[in-house]
Amino acid sequence: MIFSAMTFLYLLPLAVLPVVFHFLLRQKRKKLMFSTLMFFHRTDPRLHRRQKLRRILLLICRMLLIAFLLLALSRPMIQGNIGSDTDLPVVIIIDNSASMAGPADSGHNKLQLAIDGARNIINTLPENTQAGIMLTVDDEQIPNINSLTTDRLGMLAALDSITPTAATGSPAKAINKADRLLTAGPVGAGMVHVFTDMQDSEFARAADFKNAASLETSLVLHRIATVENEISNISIKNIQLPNQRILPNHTYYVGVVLQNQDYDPVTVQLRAVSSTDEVFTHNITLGRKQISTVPIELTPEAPGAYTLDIKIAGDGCDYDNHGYAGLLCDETAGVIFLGSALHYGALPNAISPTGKGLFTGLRNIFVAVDDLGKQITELNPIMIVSTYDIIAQLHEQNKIAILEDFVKRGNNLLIVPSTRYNLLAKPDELVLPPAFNIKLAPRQIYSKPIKLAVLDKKLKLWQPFRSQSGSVDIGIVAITATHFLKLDDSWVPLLGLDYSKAILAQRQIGDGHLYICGSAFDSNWNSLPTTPAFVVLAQQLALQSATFTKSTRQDQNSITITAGQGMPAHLAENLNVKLSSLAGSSVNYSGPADKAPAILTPAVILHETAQRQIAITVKPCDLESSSIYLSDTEAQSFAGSLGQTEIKVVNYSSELKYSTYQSRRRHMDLFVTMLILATVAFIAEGLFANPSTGKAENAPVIDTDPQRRQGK
Amino acid sequence: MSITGYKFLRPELAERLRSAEVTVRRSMDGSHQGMHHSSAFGSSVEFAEYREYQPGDPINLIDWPVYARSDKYVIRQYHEDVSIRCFILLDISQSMQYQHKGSMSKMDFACHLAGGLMYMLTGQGDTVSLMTFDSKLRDHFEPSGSFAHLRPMLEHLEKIESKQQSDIESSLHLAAELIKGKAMVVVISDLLEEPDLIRRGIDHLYHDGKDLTVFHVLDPGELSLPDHGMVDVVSMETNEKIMVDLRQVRNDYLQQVRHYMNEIRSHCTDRRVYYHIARTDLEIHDVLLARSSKK
Repeated sequence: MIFSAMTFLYLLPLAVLPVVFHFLLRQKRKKLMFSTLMFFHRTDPRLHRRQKLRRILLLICRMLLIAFLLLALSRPMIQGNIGSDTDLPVVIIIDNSASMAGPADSGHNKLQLAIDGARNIINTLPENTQAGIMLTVDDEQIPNINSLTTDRLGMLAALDSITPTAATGSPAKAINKADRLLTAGPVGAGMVHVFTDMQDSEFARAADFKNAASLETSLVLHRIATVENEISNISIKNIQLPNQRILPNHTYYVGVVLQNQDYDPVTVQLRAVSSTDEVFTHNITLGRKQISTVPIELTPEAPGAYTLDIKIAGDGCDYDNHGYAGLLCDETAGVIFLGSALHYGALPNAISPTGKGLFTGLRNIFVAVDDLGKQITELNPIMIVSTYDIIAQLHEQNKIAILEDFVKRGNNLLIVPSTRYNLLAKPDELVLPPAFNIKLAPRQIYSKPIKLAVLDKKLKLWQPFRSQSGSVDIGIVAITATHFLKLDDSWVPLLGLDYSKAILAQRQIGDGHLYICGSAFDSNWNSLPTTPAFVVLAQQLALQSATFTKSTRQDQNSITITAGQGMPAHLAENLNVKLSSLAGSSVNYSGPADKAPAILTPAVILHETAQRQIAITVKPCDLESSSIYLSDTEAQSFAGSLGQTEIKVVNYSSELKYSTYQSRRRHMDLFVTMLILATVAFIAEGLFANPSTGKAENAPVIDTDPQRRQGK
Repeated sequence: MSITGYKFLRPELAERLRSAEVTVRRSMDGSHQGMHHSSAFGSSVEFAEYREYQPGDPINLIDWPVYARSDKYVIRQYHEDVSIRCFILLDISQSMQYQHKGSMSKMDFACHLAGGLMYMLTGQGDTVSLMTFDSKLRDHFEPSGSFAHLRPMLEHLEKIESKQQSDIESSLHLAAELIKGKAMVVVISDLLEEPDLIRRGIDHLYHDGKDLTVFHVLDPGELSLPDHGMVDVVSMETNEKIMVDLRQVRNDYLQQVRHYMNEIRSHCTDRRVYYHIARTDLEIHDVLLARSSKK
């Protein structure tokens, strides 16, 4: 017997409530003082025994009433197989997930065995019997699937075109889909044959299968045993792309995350070939279940797409050893300087020597304050550089919010003193709007240059200056004039004499950074512009803004997805897209984004819309690399705990025919039966609770009127 | 005649009973001239029989017209009318305290009946005595023929406490032995014992020549059962408890009550006993006047 709504079954102990109430209320029974018990004793003694019996029956009726109601609500059903029908439709589900590409006992590919098994069933189909083919990983490239047909040749052709994928499948969904197909079919019932290796990752959640199939569907699961690896399997768990805007002539790292799926250590070779024919090889040893990331350096020299063909060699399993990575390099990124270049000294040259991004991928844009909002929208810069005077001017014009919003969206703002300040004049009072939460000390001029030190060396900003020992060296930098910064805890000092006398500091605002410098980038103020470190530091300040955060991830133009899992939500909007393959599996699609086919094998796909291009790296699904499969015993145990879904698990046999396991399920819903029983219990309870014998109108009348007795 | 201030003989009751008479069916013994037949011959105007003249009889008693016709000396004899002695046997057992639907408890109702009867009997020149009983005879007052002598009995009624179980049969046996001669006996009781026991007690009094009247005091609740459903019924006399669904046993119970009452009633009828059901929801004077020959 099975129960569709087990929750009500758990409430079955409530059936004893009448007994509990009986004992609770028993203490409160009314006491009646009476002149004599003589007449009660003279009544039928059986009446008292019947009374007790009646009470017991009453309790039993009430308990049964509750129990039957709860049983009815739990929707019980009994089921069984009856005979066989020669024309029972059959749906064959083939597990085409990545793990099926692995070897089976016989040395064959598991997927090939599954296809052979399906072919045997189709070849032995009785004439005019309908059949259908389904896959655990939807593959739109396969014709003639997902429907019932009598076209054997069509189905055999479909079987021949099934190829391994790198995705994980959902057998439960496929079973559900097959069930719906069969129950909607002409017979309203049928058989489902599932060919699978029963990988743990796909069969671990038994709950998914519980209501996957209706009672009309008979399920046979053909377990294809997997050969155990002699050497541990290393899989590509993930491909980590740089979380930055990719600009020419900058070096980026693609992280290939490898995982040892087994328990024995193994050394593998990772080989990556770039689209510019650069070859990268790395030998790595991974211990038991160890995860390790191999960084692959990539320096795009020009805008455009760059791909990596990544392969692993030397582990125990081949099907999950291949992947691709793709980066899309932007042309340039803009850095806006508010006002004239005269205010910024050597800084514009340090950021972009040519001003057009030829060497650094950054280009300088000098804009007037009045056009700020419009320029930000049009140019999408990664940094804005301003002087204190212009900030004060913007503050007066209530435009500071524009800058704040710009920074919060993941960009940078650098505020520096103008190089045109007269250092011989009375010290300037540099004041910033309260929103920036910082004050500056009056300008200080040193007659002899004072050496600056890097203050917070752990910052990623100093990465280019960091040696292998971890020390940060920017050379000798000294100052002659500066405003020292008065910082609170929200600020991180970058450069200064010491922590109490910082001249350059950064603060995180939203997803971006605000930099404040107390000394202009001019040789009259400090020696930084004359050092080689200046160019690197200036570009680091600008490029920090190119890091994508959670809220700006949608702007990223190089992303990673898993095979078979469709596009991210922000790319699947109903826009016309064009998908083409940069590396790996061949894709050529043009149409609505929500109808785009799922990519089932490793690849780099170029996703193009009218507005932008995105390089999508399709990585293999790491779940499929698991070496854990359900054993024969575990498979039987799994099949025995699926409630309504009854699955017969058998080991794969090459002798399989249509008629081998063919049977038709029948079931009987006991809901109405339970309701009738509950009604009977209810009526019986009513009869026991209200015996008709005590009605006053039926009681004998005792004549005590003497006149009437005497006939008067 | 001033009878006021008694709980169980209120002026309005006395007023209603003033003209009522209580008669007997059997010849009674009596030492005083009264209104009831005696088994002895006396000087009333009601002819009884002739008997032959015996030497020594006063010659003025000879019926001369009969001598003229038959040449025999016969004497005409007349019945003697006497006043009677009445003994009121009042049941004071605990069951008499029951009250459910009646206007008062059975005990109070019985005391009112006893008070009224005493008043009626004294008023017609008879002597009356009060005897109380439960498991045995408790109090016994000497017969009295004047209103003045009713006082201690009426006052005693007000002091009665019900504490014991009843034993009607043995009480009636004792009363039969205690009451000498032919007298009127009035039993006021709920008679809640087995009919056989009641019968034996009544028979003893009957065969002793007593003129017997039974006031069977019952509360309407005893005749119809309260409508309480499932209850623990507790006996007022024995404290015995029984769990009963009153709705379910009602029919059986009422049949048993009817059967019991029919037995009592038919036996009383056989023994020429005045049997009156005294339901506590009735008016007291109505019950008493039912016993009266002149209402």
